[in-house]
Amino acid sequence: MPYKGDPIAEKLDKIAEATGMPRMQRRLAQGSALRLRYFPLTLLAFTIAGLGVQIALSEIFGFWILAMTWMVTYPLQQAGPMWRPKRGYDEREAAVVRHGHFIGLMWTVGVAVLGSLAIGLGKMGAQIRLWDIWAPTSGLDWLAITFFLANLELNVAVLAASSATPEPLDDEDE
Amino acid sequence: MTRKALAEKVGVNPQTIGFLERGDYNPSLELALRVSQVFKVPVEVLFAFKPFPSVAEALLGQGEA
Repeated sequence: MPYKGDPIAEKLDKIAEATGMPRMQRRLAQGSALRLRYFPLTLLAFTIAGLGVQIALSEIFGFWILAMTWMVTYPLQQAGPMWRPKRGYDEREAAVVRHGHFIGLMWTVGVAVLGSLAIGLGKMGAQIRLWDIWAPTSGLDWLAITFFLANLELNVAVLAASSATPEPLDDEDE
Repeated sequence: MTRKALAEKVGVNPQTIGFLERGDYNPSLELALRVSQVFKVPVEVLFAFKPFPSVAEALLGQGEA
């Protein structure tokens, strides 16, 4: 609720409200789920970029980007619709979490299957000197792929769960 | 009764009660029965396939009758 009284404090309060942070804090304190879109989309962009760098350089850089992205992705799960309240999930929240992880896992499995197929066909093509494709060789490559799939699942799950959460209520305090 | 009070009685998030009111969420039979138990009314008084008329519509209907 915006502050009323001192004009300077009122203006400062309006600026603070405009950032959206106080509203977010109030909703988290009430146990209301936040719908996240831009954060998981940005993290997905970093995830794809990380794998791209790993493929292009096959050094520690791609792995580093993917590991850093995972370090942001994992705690972010607790800020969005996957947030688990102390009392546990109610039936609606549990359904949203299940839906999110189902979509996330379907995407992850799909990408893993297509990726494995592409690598397999690429290596077969290389044997007959038709074409070649990148394949993981070092331990870091495999760790990068692990973080890539983990980031993909978690961020797609947050996006799916956010889209399954209805618009926030206008009068959450009542 | 506030959303928070009802939510505590039936063991859900107050946001879930808000979504129920707005028609954004269809409750399980168990939750519907628990809510109706709190208000001591049959479940069909609170939940129906057709949306209930608004208070204004209901009052207007009474005036015409």
